[in-house]
Amino acid sequence: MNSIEIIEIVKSSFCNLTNFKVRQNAIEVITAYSTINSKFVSVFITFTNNKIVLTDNGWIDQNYYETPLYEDSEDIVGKIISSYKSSFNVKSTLDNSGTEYYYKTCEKIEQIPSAIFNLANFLVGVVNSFCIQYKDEKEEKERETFRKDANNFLKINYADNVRLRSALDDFKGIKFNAIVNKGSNLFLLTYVTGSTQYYFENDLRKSIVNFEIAVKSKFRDQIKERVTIINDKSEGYLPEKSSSILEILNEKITRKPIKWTEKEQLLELI
Amino acid sequence: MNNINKYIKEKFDFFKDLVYIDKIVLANIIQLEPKKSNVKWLTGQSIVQHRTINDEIVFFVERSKRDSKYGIKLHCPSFTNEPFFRFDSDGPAHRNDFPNIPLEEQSVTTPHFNSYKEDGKPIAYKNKVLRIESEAKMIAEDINFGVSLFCMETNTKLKSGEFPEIIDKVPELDFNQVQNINFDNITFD
Repeated sequence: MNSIEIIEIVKSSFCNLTNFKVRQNAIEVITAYSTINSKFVSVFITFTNNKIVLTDNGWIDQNYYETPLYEDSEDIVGKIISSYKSSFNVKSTLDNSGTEYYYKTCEKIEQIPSAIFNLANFLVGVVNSFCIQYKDEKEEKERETFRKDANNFLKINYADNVRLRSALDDFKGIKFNAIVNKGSNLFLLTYVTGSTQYYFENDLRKSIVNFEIAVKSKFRDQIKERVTIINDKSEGYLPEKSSSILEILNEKITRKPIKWTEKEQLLELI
Repeated sequence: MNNINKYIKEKFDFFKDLVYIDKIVLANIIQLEPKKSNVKWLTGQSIVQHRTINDEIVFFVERSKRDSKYGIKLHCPSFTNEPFFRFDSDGPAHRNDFPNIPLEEQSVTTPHFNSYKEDGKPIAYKNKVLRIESEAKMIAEDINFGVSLFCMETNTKLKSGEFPEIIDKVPELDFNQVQNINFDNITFD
């Protein structure tokens, strides 16, 4: 097979991939651009009020691309859409029923192909951004379970003397997973867990920073112990790999970290 | 994005039986009513009796008031959350991204059926009728033609051997009139 043959095959396949539907009110260009949920995006050409308008026909708004609905992704999808809008110079408008149309306008017929190219790229980006699950579900679940277990353990043993997700009065923004009051003594506790090494070490870093700030508090003399409870059952618990960060943590805490499987040690301490 | 339906992959023979073995739609007439989750859509349904499978199977019909796009689907909730077989009258073309299909044939425009391959991957296709452009256009414009086609494709019918009739419970306009979006009423800067 020679180069020219290959070039011809690629060219004609790409070209033939684009389809059209002539509708009463618009020409639908079924573009050659596809999304990660296997849809080809369509651009609609219409002539209205003396303008050439290219739109998505409200298909994004009406979810004709059948993207999944992930909770809590509105913010990030919103940011992606606005940055794609400015990159491809796409505008949006609402019809009187509240459906949103993404569109571009052209002055001359010669401008249509380039505008379709831009709008199609925009649509692929937007549809794909809806398809991605941004939250790491496994991590969220593991974190939530460990937090609940640890909270319950403290509640059972220290009842009203424990404050969960609480801060020292002079550093309101720095929250500890728990603060236990015993007489005039304070015990600061942080939890470390994670479904991966990355998440686990993130928690370690947070503990380090929190305890570093705690020693600058005016209540420092009342702080009897700074303690970290480590979820040694979590998949992210890889003490050898995280040894350098664990060493730094050891400098900031007053006791060796307490492993969740040996949590009774905490009762001896407090 | 992983689009594979693992339930269909695991029990592909069961899936084939669901789709192709005789089924009876219990409601002779399916009335469309406004969808609670989206005011722009009408929806209706009927229970389906399968000749060999006892699991609950539901026949769904939905229609957009905006542009007359409609969808027909069969659901078996105890098997998979997604409809196991669908028909789309309008909307985006589906990409059949399989190495043995030449690129230019990978785009399956609507109207089309949506089914699954043995590996659980979704696949869209047009049957013989839908491949004829004039027929496809007529079917896309008339929900009752679409229902007949869907029923023939999936061996579904009424006890009498006919196909169920779809009616709009609160018709706002002539049911068979195709709605078009009026771009003149939308402000484009």
